[in-house]
Amino acid sequence: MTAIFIVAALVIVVAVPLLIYNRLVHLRNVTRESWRDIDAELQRRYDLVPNLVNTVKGYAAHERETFEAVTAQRAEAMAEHREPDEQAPRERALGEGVAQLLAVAERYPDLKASDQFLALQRQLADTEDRIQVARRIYNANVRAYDTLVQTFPAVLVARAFGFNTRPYFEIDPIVRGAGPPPVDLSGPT
Amino acid sequence: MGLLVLLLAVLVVVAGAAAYLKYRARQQRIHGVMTVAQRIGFTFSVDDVDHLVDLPFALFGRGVRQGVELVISGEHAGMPMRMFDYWYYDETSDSQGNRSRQYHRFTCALATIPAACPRLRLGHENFMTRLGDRIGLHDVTFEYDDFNRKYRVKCDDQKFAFSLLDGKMMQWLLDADSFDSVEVDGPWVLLAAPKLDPGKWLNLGSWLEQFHRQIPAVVYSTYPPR
Repeated sequence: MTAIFIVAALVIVVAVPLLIYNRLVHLRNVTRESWRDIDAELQRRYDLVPNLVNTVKGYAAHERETFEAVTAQRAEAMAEHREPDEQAPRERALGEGVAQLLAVAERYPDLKASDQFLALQRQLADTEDRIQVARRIYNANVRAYDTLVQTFPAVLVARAFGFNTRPYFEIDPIVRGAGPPPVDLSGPT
Repeated sequence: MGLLVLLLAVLVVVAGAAAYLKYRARQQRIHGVMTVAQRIGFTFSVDDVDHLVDLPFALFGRGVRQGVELVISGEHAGMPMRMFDYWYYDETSDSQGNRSRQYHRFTCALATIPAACPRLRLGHENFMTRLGDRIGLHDVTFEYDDFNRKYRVKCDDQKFAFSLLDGKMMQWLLDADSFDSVEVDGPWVLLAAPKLDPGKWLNLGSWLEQFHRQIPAVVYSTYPPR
């Protein structure tokens, strides 16, 4: 009987914290990985901005201030890898800059109708959608991780081994994606 | 002896009547589905000539035996689709070794989309699935608690699940809850509802068409057809 109690106590003292520790490590790695996915999508956005600036410049060269502002905002956003809550304001600023650039384009019908600008707009819409998907995944994973870190008994293991809560990442899309393409019906085999 | 003969005769009559009623109900259903197909310009087939039951949906893998029948095909609200009856049965044995079958029947709508989607299954949460959550069999969890409470989403690709189920789609699914399950696999989208009267098949087609309209553009760009 005593042996059973000893085994049960060992399970509680060793196995349970071990399981919780492994779960914390797993969730922390998942959130880090999701943040890297956001980073990859943000990079797509950074890559699009120079093309967008050059295209608009071709039709509205005198809007220099807007071009310089968005170029600076892009450089600031790309400058270094920060924590999500520090990166978000910079991304929002870049988003506002790009939105202003698109507002400039609205005033030039030839630019709005050009194939190059339309293609860039489509790419931008797609990139914004991808960023939003990556952001939602990251935030969902952070939520699962933070909940575990803050609830009993995991909070004891988290404190002992230095697992801290992760910040959420919040940015709004600059533009929304287009509707679905047409549907086709192919055979089942 | 006379009583035994009478009993046998009654049994034969009852069995015959049951078989006749079953036959008549089936003929009525065939006629009902055929009428719907004619009214909306769909083609009709009693049998599963395209072997739809071989498609890789989880629903089609359930039970001991499965079957697809009464298939109608055509275009509804601008969307090509098929609708059909699907059944499967489970077998159970009692302590004496007697087997019994339990049939499960559905009406389904099927369409293709121009995307190569990972497998995803969306169904309703119930006592068993909630119990599964407690022992670590987690489904995909979204940021919308009402949606998580109502639906269970199984998908190995978290990115696809979040691409397909954006805020707008989740809200729409909460408002338009008249189905048993939705499955996506490759280019296929399958909507299953408990067996419907033929008169209600069109509602199912409309539901599938609306579901298709809710699919976010990012699904098509991230998962293009192979």
